[in-house]
Amino acid sequence: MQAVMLGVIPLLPAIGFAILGLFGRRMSNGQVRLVACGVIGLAFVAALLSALPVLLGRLESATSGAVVVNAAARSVEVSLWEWLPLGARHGASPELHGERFLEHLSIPFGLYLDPLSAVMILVITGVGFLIHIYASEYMSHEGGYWRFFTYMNLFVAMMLILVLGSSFPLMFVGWEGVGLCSYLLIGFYYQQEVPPQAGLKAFLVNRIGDAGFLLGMLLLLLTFGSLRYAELFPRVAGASEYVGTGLAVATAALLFVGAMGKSAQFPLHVWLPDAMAGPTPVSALIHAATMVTAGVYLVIRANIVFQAAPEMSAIVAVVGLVTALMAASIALVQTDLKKVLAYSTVSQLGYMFIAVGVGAYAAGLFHLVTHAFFKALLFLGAGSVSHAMGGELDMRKMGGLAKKLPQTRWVMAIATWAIAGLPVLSGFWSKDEILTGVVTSTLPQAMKWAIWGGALLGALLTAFYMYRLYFMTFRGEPRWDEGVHPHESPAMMTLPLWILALLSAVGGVLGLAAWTGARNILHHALEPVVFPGTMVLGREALEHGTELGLAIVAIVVAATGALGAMFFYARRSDVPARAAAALPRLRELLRGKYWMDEILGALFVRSTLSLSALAARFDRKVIDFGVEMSGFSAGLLGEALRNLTSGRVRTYALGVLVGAAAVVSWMVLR
Amino acid sequence: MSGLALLHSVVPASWAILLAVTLFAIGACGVLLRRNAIIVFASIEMMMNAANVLFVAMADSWDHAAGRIFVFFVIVVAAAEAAVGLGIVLALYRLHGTVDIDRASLMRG
Repeated sequence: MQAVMLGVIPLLPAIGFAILGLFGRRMSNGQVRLVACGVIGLAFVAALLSALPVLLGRLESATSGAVVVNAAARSVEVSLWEWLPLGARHGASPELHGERFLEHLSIPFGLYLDPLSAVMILVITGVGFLIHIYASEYMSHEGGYWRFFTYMNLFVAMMLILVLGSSFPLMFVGWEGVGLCSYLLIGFYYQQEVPPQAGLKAFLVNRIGDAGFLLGMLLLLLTFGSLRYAELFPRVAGASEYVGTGLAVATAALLFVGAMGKSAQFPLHVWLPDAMAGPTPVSALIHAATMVTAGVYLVIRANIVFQAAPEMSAIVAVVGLVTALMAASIALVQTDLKKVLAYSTVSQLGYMFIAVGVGAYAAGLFHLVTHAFFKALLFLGAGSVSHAMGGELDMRKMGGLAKKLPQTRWVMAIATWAIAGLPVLSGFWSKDEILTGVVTSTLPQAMKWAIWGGALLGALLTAFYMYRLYFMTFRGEPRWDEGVHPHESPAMMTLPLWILALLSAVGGVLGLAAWTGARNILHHALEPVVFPGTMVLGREALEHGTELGLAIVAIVVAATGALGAMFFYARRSDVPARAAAALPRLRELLRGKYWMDEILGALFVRSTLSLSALAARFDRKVIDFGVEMSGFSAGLLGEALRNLTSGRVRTYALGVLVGAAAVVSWMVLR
Repeated sequence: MSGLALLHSVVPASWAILLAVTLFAIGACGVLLRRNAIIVFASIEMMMNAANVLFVAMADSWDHAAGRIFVFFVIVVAAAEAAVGLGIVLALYRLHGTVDIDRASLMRG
């Protein structure tokens, strides 16, 4: 039963994709909506049915055929079919690994459900369903309705394969699949100039990360002889001599490069802000809630690999911090509603990497879940605003929308409150758990507190730019263009907003802090996924009083940011302009997004282009010359040889005579 | 002493060989240097008869019948070849109005 349900989860969106892809062109919008939302809704039900027993620990160990249920690991593994039988004698001895392991290697097409993937599929199908409902209304006035939902259903199917795959190669299939859908959906408005280019940029930047992921995967295969989680991770955990070696660091580093590309971490973050050229529901689903968190999922999934390379883990945290601060500071000066949210997403992903870098994997997953709620809500709210404003996204032309968009305003207020980390909505708990995770890690004291301080500064910036967004959009005097008549979105759009608002508000119950005395549900659920036995990144105990104190510091910091934004953008709106005028260098730096596009362009794009120009010259001057010379010399040879066939009988006779004489003299003189 | 034995004593084998080689060389030169198909044809006949002379001389010298028998074969083949060859020459003349073999160079590369 469990096995069937598990297979059905990714199959349903795939069926939706097939139906819409094949027949969508001839279907009415109503039919497309029914199929697209229906399959995701059913997939959510199936995900719920299979995830709950796993999360609640109601499993009994059993092995029947292709289905392996492990109660201790709270996992269900279903091997559907032989996918990559690489060895002639595959399946002979699973224990053997070494130079001849390839003879025994076989990778099944299998699904693996454990608490981590259970949480992921609930987020993907749940938030995905709400976004589909919203999009079915939002996109109804756009051309290519069926095309949009074909891609969306394919995306959900691929994302589910990414998190449900029972081995790294299958994760990679989903990884590339979601990348493809991201490319297709960013460039959805292909008649315009910018979106296809943004899609291409996303695809190419991701390619760099994918190369790292692939290499890391191959290193794991060479070292441990398997890529199936259930087989690989215990082997890594058992190999104590592996810990801390250069090989371990290299493997973790390569996997992290993959995560950096997908999750838009510095310096591979440049594609995500550009990806906002796609339709808003795409930004909500792919570039906020699900796909971009795949990197975080990868690190949590491969946590044992990162634990075996503590130095690399620390680098993960530092990269996360750099990304969080950089993106948050850029968000301060953005005036495009979606661009602010995009940089905010990059920044929040940085937070998740801080968490998984210091070994607080549950905190990373917790923030992933709450972020999926409130960031999807923020994007959908932004979509609702742009819907009301006739496509306008420039916050300088908004203001005073609270009266016209009462529902959007309230859900955005909840989401902003949540992301700012103000108590007691979801963002507060997850951000607090990350900060606590940093403090309780066993990193060197100076580094630990530096990361903590940096994360706190990030929280201040987050609260500031989010309330800046809120006040610039909904409060103050209207600054609308002529002829704009804002109107509230229909119920099909506001209903998902309210559900997400509810989730953003109460999502914190998944991971209440220890000082509340409540049980941290996610932390306990994730215990079998995180390998504590080889935990190099240990945990230090923290007194509840200290923890509460740290939480109060975080609240004060977030409140300062929020109140500051309120003061500057609602009361004294002249201050930001004067501050910008007083600090022209800083403004230019932030407006220029630290010139990361230019730096990467100079370092990689231009060097690649000049290399290719060099290669082109080599091709023309050397290769082509060689090719032409060979053709020319063949012609020359033919020209010379054609004289042999003069057609004159006497010449031939001379040849015969000379030949005969030569043969005879050879015979005689031999 | 029979007639043959007399011949042997008077004409050594080397003379016959020299005669054959001379005849062959004259024939070869005729084939290579002349352009008239009839002359070329006659030269070929001369080369064949040079071979015949050599056959007979050696058959005598080694006292072996095979050489003499070969000569008859060569004469028969030469007769057939003369029929075919003259036919070709005639056809060549009809085609070009001349028997200059350098004009018959349709197969020139």
